[in-house]
Amino acid sequence: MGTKGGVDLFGCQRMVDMTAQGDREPDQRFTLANERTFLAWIRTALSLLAAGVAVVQLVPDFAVPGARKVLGVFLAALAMLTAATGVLRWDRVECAMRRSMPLPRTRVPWIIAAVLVIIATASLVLLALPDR
Amino acid sequence: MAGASSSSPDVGEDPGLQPQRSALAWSRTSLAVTANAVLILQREIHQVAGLFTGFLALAIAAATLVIGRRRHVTLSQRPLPDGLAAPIPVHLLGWSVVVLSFVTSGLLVFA
Repeated sequence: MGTKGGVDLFGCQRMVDMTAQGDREPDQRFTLANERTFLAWIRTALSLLAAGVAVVQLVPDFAVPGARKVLGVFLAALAMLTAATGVLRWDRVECAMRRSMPLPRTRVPWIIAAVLVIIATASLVLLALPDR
Repeated sequence: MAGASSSSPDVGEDPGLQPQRSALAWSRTSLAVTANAVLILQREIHQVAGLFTGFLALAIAAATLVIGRRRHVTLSQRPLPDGLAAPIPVHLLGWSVVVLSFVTSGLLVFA
């Protein structure tokens, strides 16, 4: 079930030479845990997106015109990165479990944290700026 | 996290509460998409782009709810069926949220 009609659903194509050993169905609890982790990534993305919309629509304008839009778009872009990471990571983890390989590492949480720190710092500066 | 009343001596065969947790996680995600839809429609309903984005979010929320219900049915079976991994729902939801974020960022820029 690794590949269906040439579509690489589990992202295992890169290791196709190892298929000789055969895929093993992982422990069902691991499969379900991987699915819930994916859903948690998606909910994180949705929270970031909601924050982006809220910054633009609900927050009063900062002293710097357009600053809200920049913050909102940054958050929406972060939401895209987070959702895409969730899917790609689900693929890779599923693949690794089928091959009994160690789970892949990712630096994306580090990137998300760094961007959030930058956004928070920028917000603090914007709030501290005097009007006009 | 195995259930207390294991019918099998092998703990590894008992899925415990994991199936319920997984089905609930889909419902929770559907709610998160709905919250975004409400947030967008609340302020942007008067323009076509906002209406489109809001209804895109509502459609994703509805699809996620349907997937969650189907998942609940699948995961209620005992013993659990083989091949539990659900690549198509995962890719469908994941890339939909990427597209929704992209469309929403456009809405934020041009609103």
